[in-house]
Amino acid sequence: MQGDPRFQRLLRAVAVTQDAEIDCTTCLEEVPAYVDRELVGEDVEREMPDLHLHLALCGDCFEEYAALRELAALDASGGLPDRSVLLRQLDADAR
Amino acid sequence: MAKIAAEHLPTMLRAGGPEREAASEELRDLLVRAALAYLARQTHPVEAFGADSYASVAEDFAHDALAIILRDLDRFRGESRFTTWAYRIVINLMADEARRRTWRRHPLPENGGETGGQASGVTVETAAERQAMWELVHQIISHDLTPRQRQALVGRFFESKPLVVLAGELGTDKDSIYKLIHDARKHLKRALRERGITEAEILSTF
Repeated sequence: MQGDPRFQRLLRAVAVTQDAEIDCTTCLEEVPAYVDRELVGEDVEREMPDLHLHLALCGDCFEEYAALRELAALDASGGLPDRSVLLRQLDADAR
Repeated sequence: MAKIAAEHLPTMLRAGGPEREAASEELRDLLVRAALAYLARQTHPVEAFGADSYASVAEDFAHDALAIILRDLDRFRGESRFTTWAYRIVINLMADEARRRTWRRHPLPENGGETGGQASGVTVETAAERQAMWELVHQIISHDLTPRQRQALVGRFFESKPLVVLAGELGTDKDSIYKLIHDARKHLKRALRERGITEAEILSTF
C-alpha cells in the first residue's frame, strides 16, 4: 500500500487541505465563470483560489470542469458542431 | 449558424410569450449539441445510459437541463457566458448519471500493505518511511475517524467511488459527502501534525 497511487493521492490531498473549503454545489455555481476567465487568459488560480483548490481535491468536479472547458472553448471559437456532425462522430467511434 | 445570438437568450427567456418559445427552442438545440459533444468526448457507450441511441440520450438530458435552466434562470448573474452556464448544467446531469450506472468497485488490498520488495528506484530507507507513514495513516483512519468519515474517505480514495454513489450509500447528498471527506482530511492533517509530521514532510514522502 505504501507505494499505491491511491495512498499517494490521499497524502497529497491531506497536505493541501485547508480549514475552510467550498463544496461541490458552490464549485459548480462558480465554475462557468472560472472557465470563461481561464479561456481569455486570466490568472484564475490567483483570482478564484478556493475554486482552484476544490478542483485539485475533487476528481468528480474536475472531470466536469475539463469537459466544460472543452465545450466552452469550442463555443467561443465558432460554436459547437451541428448535431449531424456529432452523431456521425459518435457512430464512427462506436464501430 | 445559431438563429438567436446566445447573449440574447436570457432576456428572451425572461420575456415570455413567443420570444421565450423561440429562445427555448434555440437553447434546447444548443443543449442537445452540448450533450452530444460531451458524449463524444467521454466515449461512454450508449448502453451506459440505458438507451439505444446517442440522439435519445442527448434529447433526454437536454430536456432535463432546459427545465432546470428555466426554473433557475434568475441564478444566472452574467459572470460567465450564458452558454457556459447552461452547458455546465447538462454536463453535470450526464456525468452523475454515468457515474451511477458505470461505477465499478475497486476493493482494498487484503493485507493493507506491501510486505516485501520495493518499487524500482526506491531506496530501502524511502520504502521504510512510506511504510511507516502508511501504518500511521491507516491507524488514524481505523481508530480516530467517525464511521461515516471513514466510509466516505475510504470509499473515495481507495475504492474510487464517485461522490454521487457514496451519497446514495450514506443516504445523503454530494455536498455532505464532500464535507465528511474534508473533515476526515482535516483530522488526518491535524493528527499527523501532532505527531510532528509537517505538510512538507508529507509531500516529500513521495
